[in-house]
Amino acid sequence: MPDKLIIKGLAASIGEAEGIAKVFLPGDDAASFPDGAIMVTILTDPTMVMAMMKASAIVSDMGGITSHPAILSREMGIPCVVNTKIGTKLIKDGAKIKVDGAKGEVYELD
Amino acid sequence: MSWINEFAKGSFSLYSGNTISAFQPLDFFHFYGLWYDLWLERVITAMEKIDAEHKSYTELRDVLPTPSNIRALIQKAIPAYIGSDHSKKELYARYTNFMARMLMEACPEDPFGFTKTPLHKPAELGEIIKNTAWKAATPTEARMIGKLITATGSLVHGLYNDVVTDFAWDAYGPYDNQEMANQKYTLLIRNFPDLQPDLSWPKELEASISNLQIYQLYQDVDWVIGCVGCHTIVKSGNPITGLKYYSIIANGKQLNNEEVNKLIDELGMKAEKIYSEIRKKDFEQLKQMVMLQECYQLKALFDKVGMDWKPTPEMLAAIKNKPLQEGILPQGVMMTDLEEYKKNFHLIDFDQEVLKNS
Repeated sequence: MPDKLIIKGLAASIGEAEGIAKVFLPGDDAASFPDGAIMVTILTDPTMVMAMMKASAIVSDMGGITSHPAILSREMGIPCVVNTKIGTKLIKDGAKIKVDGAKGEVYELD
Repeated sequence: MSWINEFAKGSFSLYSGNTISAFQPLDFFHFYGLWYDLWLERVITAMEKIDAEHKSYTELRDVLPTPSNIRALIQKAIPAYIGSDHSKKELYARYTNFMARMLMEACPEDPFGFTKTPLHKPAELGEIIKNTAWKAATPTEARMIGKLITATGSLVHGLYNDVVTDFAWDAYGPYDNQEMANQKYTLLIRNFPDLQPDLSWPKELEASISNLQIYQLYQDVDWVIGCVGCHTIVKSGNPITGLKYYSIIANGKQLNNEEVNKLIDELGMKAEKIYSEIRKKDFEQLKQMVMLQECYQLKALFDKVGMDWKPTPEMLAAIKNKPLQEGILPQGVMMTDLEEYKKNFHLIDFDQEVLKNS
């Protein structure tokens, strides 16, 4: 059975990653961000950098290909999808998801 | 001088890839019009004192910021003019014509960063390839360097905010076909030239190093850099497996991997703390901070001529208790067409009203 497409955004950094979604917002504690989780956020900023460095992929509601999450994901070589508009509302904390950074797509895994 | 169309091609990438609502922590483009005239009067005075308009980039490079920062200065002068009362056309014309000429002399191959941000001449590149103490890279080290750039870039975002970033974060290249030991590579150079700025941040939040350079040699990775050095985009290839050699230099000394990993933790944590401090500032404090950061970009020029680089009382009075302006640039819209960008971001207006009338 094919993976279920949850949401599409802009492809901002190539690569694929599978993992547990962690909805992470400015002000959240980086220590609570699990190593290798997929960060789902509105828009990253420098208060989130320690958590970003633990993420295996980043999905953001806002931003373009030269926005903060896009630039830094490319530098770290992790997939990134930006401008999903409502990713933080649709993707549940703890859900198993797959991010395709080349297509700009996020899938729910069984 | 007719540079605006070429500038438009380079700067278009800034807004075809982002919206102004994503710039933090203030909507800068609706702020500059309140006070930029007053600053530019001082900048022009400083330029006159060293006869800058009749000197070459080579003569002036020590008093100018990085090329990407100069591109950003031009980019900001345009909405600043639109937000002003339009009485200082000559000021904006002299300032932007000067900055554009500096870019054309510094980076003749691609002055406005259409696809790359070159700065070095072929002979300089040869020296870099020959004299750098290269280390062979693995994917682990490529990721480590990515984290170093992330941590350092985030600290820069805190120290300088989202639109003065280029003052302390530039990239040069991509320089294709660089030869070492009979192999061809693409060279990318990252430059973080001022990590300890005189901007009144608490000492404990400043970096332990003042500057950082990262040299990277890639194979089979096709890079594009759009307008400013922090906007590196991989067009094809894999930057993790494609990194073959690297060298990381802080304060003139090459770092080993243990030192790099310590630096990642230090800079990342300081970035978080500085930005948390910024988030606590009220609107009046944010405006003052942004003005100070903006003025800092030309500190070296002001220092050279013995002028105080900091905001004047008149500049501070111009923003005190004033709201941001409205309607200068489109909010939340990602530009998809170059002509639409030139119109909506006022490059055509600026060309006709300022550049062609002065």
